Amino acid sequence: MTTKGRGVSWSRSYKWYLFLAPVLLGILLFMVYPVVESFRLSFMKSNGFTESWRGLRNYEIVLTNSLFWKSVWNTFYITFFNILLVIPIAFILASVINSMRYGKNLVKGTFFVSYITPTIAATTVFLFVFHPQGIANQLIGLLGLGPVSWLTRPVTAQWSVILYAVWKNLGFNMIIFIANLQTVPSELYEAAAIDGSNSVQSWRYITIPQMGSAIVLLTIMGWIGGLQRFSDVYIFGNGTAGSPERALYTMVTFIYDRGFGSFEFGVAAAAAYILFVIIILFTLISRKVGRAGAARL
Amino acid sequence: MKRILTILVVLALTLGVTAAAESPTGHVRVQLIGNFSMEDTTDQTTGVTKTGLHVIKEDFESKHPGITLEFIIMGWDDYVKKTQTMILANEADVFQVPGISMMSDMDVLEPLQPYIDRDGFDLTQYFDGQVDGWKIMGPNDAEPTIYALPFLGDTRYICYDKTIFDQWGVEYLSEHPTVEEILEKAKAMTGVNPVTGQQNYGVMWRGVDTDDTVVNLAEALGGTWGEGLRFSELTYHFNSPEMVQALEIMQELAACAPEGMMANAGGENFGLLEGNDVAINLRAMPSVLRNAKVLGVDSQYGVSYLFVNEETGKGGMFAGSPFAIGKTSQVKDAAWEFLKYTASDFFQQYVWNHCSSEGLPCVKSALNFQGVAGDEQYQLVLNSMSYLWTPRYPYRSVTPRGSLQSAIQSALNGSMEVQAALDQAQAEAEAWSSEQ
Repeated sequence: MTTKGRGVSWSRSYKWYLFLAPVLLGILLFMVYPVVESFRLSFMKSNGFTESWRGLRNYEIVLTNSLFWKSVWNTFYITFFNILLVIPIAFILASVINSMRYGKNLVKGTFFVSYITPTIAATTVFLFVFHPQGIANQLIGLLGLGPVSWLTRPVTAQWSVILYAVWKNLGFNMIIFIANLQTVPSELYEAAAIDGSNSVQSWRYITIPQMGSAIVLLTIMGWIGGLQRFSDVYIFGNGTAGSPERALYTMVTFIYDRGFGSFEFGVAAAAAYILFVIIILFTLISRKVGRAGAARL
Repeated sequence: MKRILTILVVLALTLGVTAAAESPTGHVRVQLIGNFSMEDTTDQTTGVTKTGLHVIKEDFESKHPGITLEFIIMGWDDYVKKTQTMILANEADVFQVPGISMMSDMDVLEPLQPYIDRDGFDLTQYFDGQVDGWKIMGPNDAEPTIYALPFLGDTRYICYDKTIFDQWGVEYLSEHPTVEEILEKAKAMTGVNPVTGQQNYGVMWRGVDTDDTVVNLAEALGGTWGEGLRFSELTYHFNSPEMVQALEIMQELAACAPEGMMANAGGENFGLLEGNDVAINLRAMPSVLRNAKVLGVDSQYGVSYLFVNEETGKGGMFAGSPFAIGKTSQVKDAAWEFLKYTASDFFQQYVWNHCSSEGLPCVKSALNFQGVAGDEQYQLVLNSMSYLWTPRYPYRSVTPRGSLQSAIQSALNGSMEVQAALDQAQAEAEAWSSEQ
């Protein structure tokens, strides 16, 4: 290539950078800068107006705070059971819908509505669902069980959030499974049928093993989303109080409470970085465990 | 004679010009939070037209020819943070600062005492405690100082359903009920109503504010939440004998309340036309009475004061909204004129007539406003502002409140013993303050 040619090539690529500049600038200002600034803040005592150097004290405050560890426990508990329930239910539903001949899109759309419903609107409606005279108690009444005061007891409050989260995420998980189901070659089912396999056997030995990547993806996304849980517990748990008895006090609630509740931005930033490390670790673990599990399917 | 007249005219003109020259001028930007509007709107409950803030702008500007007024209206979400940012960026001159205690260490508000002294501004025109309630201690203050003046009042009171009292044959509450009276009557009216055959509950409160009710009970028993204003210097009494006794009483009251009360469930029909099954509301908001009046059922309800600490004569959480001037304002004198104006009858009557969903008038003259004068219920509700605990509970907007709430919920759920739960709240609150 001649010098002139290189010049033309550079000029062309340079122009593209100009077109990308607004987006890059946005990323720098609204993503890179807050990340760097939060890291700096995590070593400061800051109320948003005044600042002083605090070293690692903020990390010490967070890591020695029993409330923070309670928030970690709450977050993991809710996320674990949410993932444990939503993935199998979504997969079963996706399998049923995928095998439907008529009305497939209508059913898919109906289930997906929950995912696109704004969290605040959905949780507000669920407050009525879990009201002592709400639908949840009417349903368990049909089973002969007595009414439950869902949002005033710690365990039932956490399960209210889990059930809500299952409803909320079911549509998304289902769509991912349906997309994955549609990639399974039909020849595999035809060959199995020739070998005498019934539909349940085909589902167990062909469909399920093909779902490994979707399960890993949904598990990782479930953990990332679950560890950032905030809006739903904020509504169910009376704001940052995490009521009842701090059962709905999650890691992000801790960050919000200390940051925007008490204006301890240094402590909040340190907690945010600890959360960041936890998410990275858990994503890696989920990926590793998920892949190993998928290989065994 | 002619010469004297000429001298007088010249003198008057000179004084007039001088006065005009000294009158503050400028463009004052006022930040407001909540359901305010410049334009006229329709009330969602009553269907009545609510006049917009344009009348305030017109009235103020006509009285202060050198000053123009602009309102910047925003929502309640993250209002403290937004207000901080606005002050920092000098985006307004006057700020609505209900979260003023959060700003005490930030040194972003203008102290108002020099303006009050300069103009001899009369603070006694406000209901008792309304000015004290908003005092804070800035980083350089040795004692609580005025950085804001009230413009919206707020209160809580005890409200009860006379029909249920009549059906149970229980005497109405006294104007200042004691804890024993409430407990006795709440227990007496919990069960199957002898007339309707429906389940009745003796008492309810606002579940999300259970901690405020417990603190109020403790005040009635001679206790307090604690002392101090600066977060790092707060002394808590969360596990005092009075608080322990108050929480034990709350346990008894909880047995007379609808299931789910802690999660704000079960008392929704209180103050409405029909379907109410609760006799006493321990923490009624002003809107309960207002809605009852709109529905024409106000005569069914009686009102009483919250519990008070006999020693101080105060009790109950102080609330409302004050106005403050940002330190970055370039038109502080003009902004001060607006603050003074908000105590005027015109402004306060506007609050009463058109912004009642946002708060109550906070000046004594409001007792003579149309709709208030002669109305015993409203008289009591407005007067109840004078009894609220001042300065405002400073812990209430920060992390220790969550600790207290959690402890109270643990005790009411039976997860923890009362003393142990309050000891934990005390320890958490002290640890938090030591970190400030």
